[in-house]
Amino acid sequence: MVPDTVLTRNNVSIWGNGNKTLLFAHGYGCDQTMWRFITPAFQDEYKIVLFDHVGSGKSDLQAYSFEKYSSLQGYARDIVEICDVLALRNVTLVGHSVSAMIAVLAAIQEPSYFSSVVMVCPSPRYTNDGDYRGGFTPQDIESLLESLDSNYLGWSSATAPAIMGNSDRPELGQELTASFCRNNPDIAKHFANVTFLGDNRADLPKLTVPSLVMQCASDIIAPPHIGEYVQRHTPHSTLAMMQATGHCPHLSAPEETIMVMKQFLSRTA
Amino acid sequence: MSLSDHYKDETADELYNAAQCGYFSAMPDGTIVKINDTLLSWLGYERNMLVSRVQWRDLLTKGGQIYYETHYAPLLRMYGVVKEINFEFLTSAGTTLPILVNTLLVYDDAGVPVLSRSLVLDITERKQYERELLLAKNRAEELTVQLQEANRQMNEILSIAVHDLKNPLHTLRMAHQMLTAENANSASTEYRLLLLKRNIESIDTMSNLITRLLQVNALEHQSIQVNLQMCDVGELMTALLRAYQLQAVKKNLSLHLSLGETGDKTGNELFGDKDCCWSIDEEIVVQIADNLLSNAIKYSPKGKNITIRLYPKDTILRLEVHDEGPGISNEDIKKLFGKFSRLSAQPTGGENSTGLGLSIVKKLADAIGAKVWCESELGRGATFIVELPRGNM
Repeated sequence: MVPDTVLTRNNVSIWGNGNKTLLFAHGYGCDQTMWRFITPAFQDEYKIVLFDHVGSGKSDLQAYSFEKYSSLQGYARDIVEICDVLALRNVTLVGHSVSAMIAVLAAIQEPSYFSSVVMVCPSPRYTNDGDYRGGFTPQDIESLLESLDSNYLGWSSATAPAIMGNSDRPELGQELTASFCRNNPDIAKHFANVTFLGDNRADLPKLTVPSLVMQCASDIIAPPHIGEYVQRHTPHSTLAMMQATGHCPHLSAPEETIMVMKQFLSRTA
Repeated sequence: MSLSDHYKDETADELYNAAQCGYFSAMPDGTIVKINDTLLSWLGYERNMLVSRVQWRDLLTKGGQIYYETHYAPLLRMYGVVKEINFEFLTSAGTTLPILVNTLLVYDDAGVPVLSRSLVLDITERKQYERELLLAKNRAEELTVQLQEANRQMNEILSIAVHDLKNPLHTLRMAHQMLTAENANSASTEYRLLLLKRNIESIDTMSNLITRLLQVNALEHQSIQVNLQMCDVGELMTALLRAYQLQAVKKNLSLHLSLGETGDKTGNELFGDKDCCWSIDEEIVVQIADNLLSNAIKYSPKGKNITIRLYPKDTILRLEVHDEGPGISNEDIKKLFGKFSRLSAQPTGGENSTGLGLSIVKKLADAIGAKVWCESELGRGATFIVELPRGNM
């Protein structure tokens, strides 16, 4: 792969100091800007690498392939390629929500690149399956797609390609406001289907590097029993039950998130 | 008090609680701490059932809850304000209420979010309209895809037809050139007659292709009128076989009609068999059988048998045209009923093929609700099967 192609495709941003790397993968719905409250706490010790999944944020929409991204493996391959072109090793891969599973898949694909995986609010399967309580039914996912259909007014085919700029600066510019959480509706729906109808339970036992499971209280997307399930089925994993509520502790409780991550990083270092 | 002074009596409380929109305030985790009467009445809950007890996210549909967590909450935390988000509330009666929400985040002096204030609009009617628009959009998109496909097929037919008309036209021109050449008189009368005969064949080929194209066009652009009437299908097939007798004799083929699953009687013995009296569209069934039979004759090597087999099966009448020709490969069977699907088989007596016959058969069969398919093995002949439904009579 040509380095520039990968870096542009995933709108990769790199800064910070240190020979260890923190590579952050955003979850469904948003983009890399959602890490902005916690990255400053790590930039003195770590190289920080952020990116947008293809189809999200300011990634190259032309690179979106409905075939490649019909499974999370496609997204995981992108992460491995980012490490390839930047020659990153000794990486702690932090994945939020669906990207926790993408991170697991990437670390299974190329274990030598990654020293550890941090799963923020992971769920290996969102829909119910027999005794397994993922929390949702296929009808619920259908109603999410309706929500997406009726809320894509903020996305406009005319403005989307014009959005450029450097996303790691602290203040949020007008152009960012226009892109955050506002993705091409066809891609957003496809990603939603792949995310919420997928099943990665069988992948958890294959993870060989140490991992941290960060579980929020009252998270309806990934409730506490799911965090426990992930920890139970993932070798070398630790579960951190957080006080933060909701599904995005890095936004709602950045201090606690930073603290829990630092504890884990100091133990695995 | 004058009529225009009533506004002076309006209290803030009245304006809040009786507003024509819902208001509520929530903790940063979404727990409702204040809510106005209007919204309570829309939701069908008492104030004490919600305040300090419920995160407002839990009043949404499941899909809305995911949207809340993956889009609304991150947006609100990042920008401090979110506008025009469409959710659906679940009311206490179990009905859904489509709403638009605007939310503003309130911060303390240190810049930490402490409260959110939301405004809620009931958009039931607008939502109805939006759904209609969405349906219309989806329909338009589907139609576009269909039209593109139809256009593609039409272009393909046109280019093949043009190509197929050019060849005989070229032959025709060559022959005329020879006949009008200066030394034409030196050619024998036999040779000139042969050229003229070939010209007639070329003209027939072109005229045949045009007839078929017109037929395909008619089938595609007009709905096919189906006229059901009782008739004896055995008798129809006997007449059809008789019409093809001459062509069959030329290639030394023998034609048979058999009735019943294992019947092997020859055609003439079966006149008037009442088992074959069905309510069908005579013209369409004959057209289908005619196409299949002429194909069988066209592709059969000399000296072989062709059999039309008829037998009733439950509520359908099965019509089979079986030949002992070279058979059709699995690959070709898949393409058999498409337009201009030129396959590897070649006519055995120099006949020409337009590549349209079976696509016409398929269209006609569709029109009368019949199923048509082909079963064959290379080297073991082919059987075309038509299952005619018993008409409602």
